[in-house]
Amino acid sequence: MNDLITILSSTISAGTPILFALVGDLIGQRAGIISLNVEGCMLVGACAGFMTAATTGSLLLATLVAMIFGGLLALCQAFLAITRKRNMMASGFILNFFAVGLTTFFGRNFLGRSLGADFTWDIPILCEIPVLGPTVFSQDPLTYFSYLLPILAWFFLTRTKSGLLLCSVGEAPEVTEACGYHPKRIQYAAVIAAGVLAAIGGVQMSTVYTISWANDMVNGRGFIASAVVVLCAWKAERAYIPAYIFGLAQALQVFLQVKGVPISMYVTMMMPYLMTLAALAIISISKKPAMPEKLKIIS
Amino acid sequence: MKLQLLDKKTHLLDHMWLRILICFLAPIFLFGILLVSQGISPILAYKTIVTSVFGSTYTIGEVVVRATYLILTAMAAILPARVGLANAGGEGQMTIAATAVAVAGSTIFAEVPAVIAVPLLFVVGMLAGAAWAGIAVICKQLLNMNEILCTILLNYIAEYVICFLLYGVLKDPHGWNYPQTVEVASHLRLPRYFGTRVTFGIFIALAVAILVWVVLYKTRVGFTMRTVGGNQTAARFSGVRLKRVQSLVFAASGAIAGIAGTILILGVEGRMRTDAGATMGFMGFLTAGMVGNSPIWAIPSALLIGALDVAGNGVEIATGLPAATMQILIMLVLLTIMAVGGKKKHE
Repeated sequence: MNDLITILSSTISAGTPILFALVGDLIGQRAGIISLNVEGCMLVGACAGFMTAATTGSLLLATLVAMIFGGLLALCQAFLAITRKRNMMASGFILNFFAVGLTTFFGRNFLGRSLGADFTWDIPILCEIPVLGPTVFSQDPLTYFSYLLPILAWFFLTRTKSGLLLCSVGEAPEVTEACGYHPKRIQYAAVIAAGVLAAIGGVQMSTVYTISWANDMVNGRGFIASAVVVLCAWKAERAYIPAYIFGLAQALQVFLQVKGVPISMYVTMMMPYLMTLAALAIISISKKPAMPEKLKIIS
Repeated sequence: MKLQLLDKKTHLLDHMWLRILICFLAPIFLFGILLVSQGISPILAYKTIVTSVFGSTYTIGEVVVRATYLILTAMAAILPARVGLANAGGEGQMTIAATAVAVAGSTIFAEVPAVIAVPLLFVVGMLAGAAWAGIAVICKQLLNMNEILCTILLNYIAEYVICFLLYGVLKDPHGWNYPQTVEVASHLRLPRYFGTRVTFGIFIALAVAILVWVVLYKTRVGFTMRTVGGNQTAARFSGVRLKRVQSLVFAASGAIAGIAGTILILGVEGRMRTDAGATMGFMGFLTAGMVGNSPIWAIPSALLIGALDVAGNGVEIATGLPAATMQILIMLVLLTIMAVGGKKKHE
């Protein structure tokens, strides 16, 4: 029973960063721009967030600072991919290396430093429910927010005028323009939103999940998030499933290692990446999901 | 339809030399600001960069050693780019090939004379690289998956496969428990020159770069490839078997990354370690991107990125900054080129 609670609880906290980045990139992709830079935005968010949290002890401040820097990195991607019309995959890829360099540089004095703060906040009453209480309702505020995020994104994308406009840019920007809106501005907003959300995921990762800063700590989670947008068929409400499956893969990896199960840790560490590849392969055989028209050109 | 005729106003950035000047000065300036913000003298840093690159024959040799890998991994990115694919997996293809060569060179080829064994080891490396690229080809052509994401994911998978092997079955039993393979037989190693770590590999890399250029611009095959890269619909209507060309080119690019892995082992390393050749595949991709996928210009580009990479160690010693700081400068150069560079011809 205790093992189950440990696994479920760490599934949620390991899946949350991916959930943020996934919903972020999904919004960006609905506007026709793939933000491969969410990996970098997560890293920037993790670093800036950890540095702020370690100095001020405030999760709110940490999140705000991370959002600003994540948004700035995403702005670079928006400029290169939208204004300069560069290959959006290549520019996102380069921005990730830029983020690795920047965070290694600025985070160098925070390596191995402890946070000195615990952001877990039990929701009263709900946290007493057996199993669900200590797993779902005994997390941090950012994780609670992430529970709502896919639903909020779904509501925004399908039920509000701005959300539908954003989707129309991904399908037929000419039409959006003909209706008197600026497709490029909407794309800018979508890409920056993607970066900001990914950065929040980064904060959750460094201040709640690992509770430390390490160089290049995101280690491909952003790429996984970018890749599994296909698995959700560009529908935000489906983001829970892939995010928590990958959270589970990571939770099991740590769990098996702690329990001393004789599987090489490198095999278990490989699992999330292998699973992503396999999942993408399976979805592509079964059916072609409704891809935004503008993305069909590049894939 | 936009009226193209009305769109002909000249822009300040249309002057090529101005653009080159910006690409050169802007990163140096921005990086300088970054250093000043941390209380580090940029003059000291730039001086260190110059001295740690041109300080001695040995340091220049180190630049050439890195450029060897970078030229090859850049070619592995350039070839697929010319048929409309992107290979971001040079890293995985190179290190998987290096592992295969390290194993083959220390076991089955250990007793074979170099004249026979070395060419065969290159074949082993090329096959291993092509096989790893082949996974991405299957993902792309049969399953219709995005090749950039596949190759990026395969890089991570390659990293863990190699760790798994080096900590497991391939670990040298007499290696003080370090995660490394048995050393390749000494008579199979490539000759070194000038008292540096420069090996015969640089000539192979240059030859491959020239070969890529000749194939691309002087042969029928290259013409077909460029047609595919330029306009896939036109290529298909003119009878090109698109998927076949793309798949073969992608596998060939894996083989070229495999050559880089072979040189890594037979040249400098001698055995596979977990971090041998790390980042050379990624940097090769960027080396190619920096010069718009031109095989000849990739050579100076590789030397520049190699030099900045070597300078990282010097900067670490002189200023106490992590070596990865140089990555910021490299990426600033690339981002500036992307931001102010010219538009592609076919856009």
